[in-house]
Amino acid sequence: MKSLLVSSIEKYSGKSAVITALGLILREKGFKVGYFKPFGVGTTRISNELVDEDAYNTASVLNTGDNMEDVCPVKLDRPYVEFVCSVDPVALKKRVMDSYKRISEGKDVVLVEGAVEYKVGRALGLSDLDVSSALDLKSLMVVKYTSDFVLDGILAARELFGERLKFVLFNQLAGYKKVYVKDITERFLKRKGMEMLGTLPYDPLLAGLFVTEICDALNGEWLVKSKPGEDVIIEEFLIGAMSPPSALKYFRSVRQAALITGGDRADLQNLALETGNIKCLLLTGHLEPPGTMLGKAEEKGIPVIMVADDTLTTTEKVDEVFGKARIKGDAKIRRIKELVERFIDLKSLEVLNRK
Amino acid sequence: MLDQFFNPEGIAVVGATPKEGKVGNTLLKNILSFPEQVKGKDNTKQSVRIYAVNPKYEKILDAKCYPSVLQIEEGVNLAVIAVPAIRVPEVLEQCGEKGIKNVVVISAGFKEAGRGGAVLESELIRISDKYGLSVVGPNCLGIINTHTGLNATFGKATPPEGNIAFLSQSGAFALAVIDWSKVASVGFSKVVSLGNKAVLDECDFIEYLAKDDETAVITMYLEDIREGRRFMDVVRQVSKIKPVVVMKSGRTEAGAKAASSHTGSIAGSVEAFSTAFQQAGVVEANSITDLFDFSLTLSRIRDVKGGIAIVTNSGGPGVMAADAIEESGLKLAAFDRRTMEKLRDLHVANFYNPVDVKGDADSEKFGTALGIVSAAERVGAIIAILSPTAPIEFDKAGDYVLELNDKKPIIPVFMGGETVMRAVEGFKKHGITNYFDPVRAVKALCAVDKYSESREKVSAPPPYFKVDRKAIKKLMELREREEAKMGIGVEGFKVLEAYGIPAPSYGKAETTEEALGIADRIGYPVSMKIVSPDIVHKTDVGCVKLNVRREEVKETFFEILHRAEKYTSARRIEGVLVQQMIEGGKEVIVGMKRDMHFGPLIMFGLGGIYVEVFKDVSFRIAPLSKDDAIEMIKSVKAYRILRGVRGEPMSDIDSLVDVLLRFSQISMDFPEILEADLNPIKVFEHGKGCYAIDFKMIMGERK
Repeated sequence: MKSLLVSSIEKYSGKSAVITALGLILREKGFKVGYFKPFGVGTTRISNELVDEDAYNTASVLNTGDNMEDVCPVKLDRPYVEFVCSVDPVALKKRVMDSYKRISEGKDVVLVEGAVEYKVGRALGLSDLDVSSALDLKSLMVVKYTSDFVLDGILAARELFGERLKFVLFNQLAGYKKVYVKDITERFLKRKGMEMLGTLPYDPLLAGLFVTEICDALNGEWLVKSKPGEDVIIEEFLIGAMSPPSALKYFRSVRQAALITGGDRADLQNLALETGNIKCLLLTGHLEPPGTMLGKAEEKGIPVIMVADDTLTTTEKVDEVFGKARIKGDAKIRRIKELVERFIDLKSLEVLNRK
Repeated sequence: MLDQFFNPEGIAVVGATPKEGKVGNTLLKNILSFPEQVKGKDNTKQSVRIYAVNPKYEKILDAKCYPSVLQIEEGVNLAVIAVPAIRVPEVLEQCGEKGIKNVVVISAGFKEAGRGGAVLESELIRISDKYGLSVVGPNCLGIINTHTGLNATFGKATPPEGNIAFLSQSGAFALAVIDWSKVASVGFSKVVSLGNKAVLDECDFIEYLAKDDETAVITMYLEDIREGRRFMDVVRQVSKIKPVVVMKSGRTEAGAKAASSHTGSIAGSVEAFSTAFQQAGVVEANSITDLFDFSLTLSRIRDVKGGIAIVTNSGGPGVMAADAIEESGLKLAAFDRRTMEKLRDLHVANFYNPVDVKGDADSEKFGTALGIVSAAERVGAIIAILSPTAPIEFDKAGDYVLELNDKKPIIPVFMGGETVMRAVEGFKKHGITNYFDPVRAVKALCAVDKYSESREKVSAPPPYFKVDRKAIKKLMELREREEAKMGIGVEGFKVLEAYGIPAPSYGKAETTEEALGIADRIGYPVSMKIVSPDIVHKTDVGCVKLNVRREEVKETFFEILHRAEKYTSARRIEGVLVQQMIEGGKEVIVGMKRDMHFGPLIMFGLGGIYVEVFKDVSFRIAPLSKDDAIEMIKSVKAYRILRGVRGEPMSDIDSLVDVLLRFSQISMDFPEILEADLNPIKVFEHGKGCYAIDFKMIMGERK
């Protein structure tokens, strides 16, 4: 049995996405795949069971058949400081070791997901650093390429992880930096004893949110519902405050977008329905739009959501949820798998080399 | 086809009722007032059969009543429906089964009423398609043919007979116009309230009315145009035969917004509408007054061959008219020597144009002067202005106008109240409008002049260049495979190359090595610019460097990226464009926006940073003919700059014409290109051509 710890320097770097893709690919190749997340902080209640939401989603997709209590044995169910003060680290560690043992049974590969970022859980002895040494795991660092300075972050982590930090994968790359990262970073990492597995491009679909997710986040009211089974992914947002002729240019240069505009801006709403790139209308200010527009939206199957907040507040709320999109739904899962297959050098991962 | 709407042999009024005040009651009454005998196609007389449909009655007023159209034994070729919206689909199905092809749906409660209504309207369209029905409405007032006496509306009045056909997208406005027409003595040939235009729209009726002998002018009030290209094609043809006068509301931002929530229409650009109207030969009116002033004048005057003459008994109003003539672009006629001599012999105060017969002139003297002027060679039309001085008898003066009007069109401006009334009534009988305000008279004449000018215009077909379409197709396929969304940036230059639009040599660099390699190939100095969809005004943020020498390339590459990263995320930066340096020349812009209604709207203007301030631009809807391209360039004020100011050499206009034509062809060949800009184009002196320095393009889904 082989295991790999997937860790990150920053939060929301794409660990779950990478694990999901790797897990599916490995399974296709005939491996029995296990999934383990020692410490979860995103605790929520699903069908009356206390679970880590992220772990729950990943485990459901990979369908490993393990008990959720073992998949994520330690869940943060109270404020962190209180948690740190009230639990027995030795007992926690034992729980993690026991669960890991059960998860590993009969598996060819276990993919271990780190906490928020590699330092989180240090106070409990459950950080990625602790886990990698306790379970003796090689680590794959998923790095969101926010700027060139991420290199320093990787080096600092390497000093702490030591030899166990073996692989690096850059995520969400776009534009001219792609070439740079390939040419320069690869050489640099090699010199420092690490191996670059590849770079995943920024993908608007993966970063996108489902219309239902947006509606929930904004506490919106459905005026026109999505067609059943057609929950669309929104990749970008547009704020409609200009005149229709000026707006047209923006409406045209987006794809899979949602328009945030006042409920009274029938001119922009009607224009948005015609352009085809706008897949959802978010009407602000709790202003009811004209019936003619709703009729047309219904006809075209474009969901319309009314929210009570003004346009500015709505935009802020949307910004808040964007960039934290989860890998949910077949389209996103298919896409991340495609990207990993295409851009990641899977041969270098020793876990794949033999059963 | 549509003829049966206006000349039906059997009419069914579905939703007729004996209850006074109901739509179904007034409608039936109006239809029953249809004269019993009408002319058939071969001028024989035949009677029109009228049936009421309502399951609750056996007879309503004088009409036999049936439970549904299916029970009517004889043939029906026009059904007028006034049942509640929810029942309309069922009635339409029955019309289809019965073989009634022409239907007017008066009922409201469709698209205009919201979601449930929109569903009903789709249903209405589906049934119409299934049976091949022609449907007017829904949500309309109905139709009128004054010449047969058919009034299938629920209005209380019927307009007088005339030669103007009136189409209205607003039922309420149509109702008001019909009511007013009696008082104003404005006659109509046909009236159609278009309603929601679910099936038939203005284009269908314009085509029909073009062939209608009783119609001389087609007049319309529109709130939106659904099929812009078809509208242009139809009007372009029809306006060669008879004038099409249009008042289109929602021309401003506020108006468009109001129209949008009213009809659900999308606001097109103001430029696109007026350009389309101009190119198609529409006579555009901006107010109700203009709409009918223009229509009435055009119904009797088709062109003005020569200048305008003014004959007046009062200096002031004569001057007012002269001002208006110059302002509107018309010309005051210059009299020939003989005319002037005759006028001088008549002892008028001024025998030049405007002719002033003086305040002491009586009607005879005024009439004689009018006669002399109407016989003058270079006079195309006359404005006859009279103030109610003591010697003037308006009836007599009016007779002169009526008598001489056949020689040269005369527009009477008899100014006054009660004293001019009888003369004005006399004019009306002959379809002549009298104006109190000379400016209105001039405006109406100006409309005639514009119409005749556009009617006479012969445009050559747009040229077609041999181009490399495959290169562009390849580029588009490449873009589709690209997962991340990016507008077409540097790759766009390939489009220009394929279409023979000259541009400087270039290359896109992502590393310094690449930048040097490209610059070495092009030759020094070069220009370097950022490539990012987020940075539109590159110069403003210091992302354009000109005259870069070899030793500066690396440093400049970093500087540009560094500046750009302050402005946008590195993720949205594609690299640096290295371009051959083009120095000198005058800057112009060519742009294209695909209008939602009319298609590619091509723009031309002088370039530079002040372009947004001066807005000195001209528009045409593609495809452009060579004449269009030349007109576009000549119609901007900055044309004088291109022609050369103070001894400057003339710019290479021909090369710009060529670019406009090729650009127009790109816009026609690739509907997926939604917007594109050549900004700036540098044009050099005659014979030295022009270069497109920058090119931007927004693409939509592939068609």
